[in-house]
Amino acid sequence: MNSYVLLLITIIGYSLSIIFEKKTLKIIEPDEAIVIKGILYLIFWGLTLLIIKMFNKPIIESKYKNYKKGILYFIIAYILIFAVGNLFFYYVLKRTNEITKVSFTLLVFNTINILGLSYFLRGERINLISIIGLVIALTGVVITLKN
Amino acid sequence: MELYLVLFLFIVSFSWNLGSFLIKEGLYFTSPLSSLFMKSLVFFIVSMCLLLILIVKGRKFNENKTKKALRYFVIAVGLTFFIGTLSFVYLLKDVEKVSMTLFIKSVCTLFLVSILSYLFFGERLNSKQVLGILIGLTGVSIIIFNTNLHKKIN
Repeated sequence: MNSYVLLLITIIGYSLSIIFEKKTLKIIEPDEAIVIKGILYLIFWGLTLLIIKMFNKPIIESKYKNYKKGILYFIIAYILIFAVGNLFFYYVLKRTNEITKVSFTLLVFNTINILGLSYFLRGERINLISIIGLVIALTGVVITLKN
Repeated sequence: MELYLVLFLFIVSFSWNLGSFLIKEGLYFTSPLSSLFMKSLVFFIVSMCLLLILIVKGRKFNENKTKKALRYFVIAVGLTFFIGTLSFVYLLKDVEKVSMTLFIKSVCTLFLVSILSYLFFGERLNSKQVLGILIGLTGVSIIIFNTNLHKKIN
């Protein structure tokens, strides 16, 4: 599938889920939501496993000889995302009502971190026109959040 | 906002983004489905640890509220799991320019949530906010038309 189609599906999936999470967090506390989320993830994985087995598809194809290394990367990644990122995020949300400032600060830090990490860890380079696009996109975000 | 909260937000952003880069590295060695499996497992273990802490602290869970919340939360987590995460790991497997992919994803999600909040919650968007979204999308379009997501350098 085309990368941009996948990107669009990702954006739609995450955005819609944020809307339903917002509805959920009006009823229960964030830490309760995290607990339920973990349980639901395991249930959904069970469902996925069932579908994979039905189609007789392996989870890890035989071409992946060094898959343990990949698994180790995933474990560190998801601990960082869930145990560090999400918990700190909920901690911040509990102590401030300035959601606009939080969103904007996070987007600025995201941009800095994305560019820094991709440069130093992956050796990625972006061209001047993309930098201009990035600045325009951030300007749009500032205008949206400030108003 | 207090300075320590800003510092915490930096940690949040750093963890999330470093996490995404590590997933990309992992995908050189194994399949996207195994990533989804590890995500489910890690999330489950962490959430069980949190549940243990909440029980030790003496937190009581309101059964009725939880049932009511589940109506929305099953959809939310289902959307994240089957649409968001699944397409995201396949996307990460596919692209080499992770920086621009993550940037477009985070900016567009912010804009789409603003639009969806208007549709679902009736949160009004004024003309300046609509202008901001249009400017932002123009910036994203410039990036898309000038970036090859399959090359690290271009």
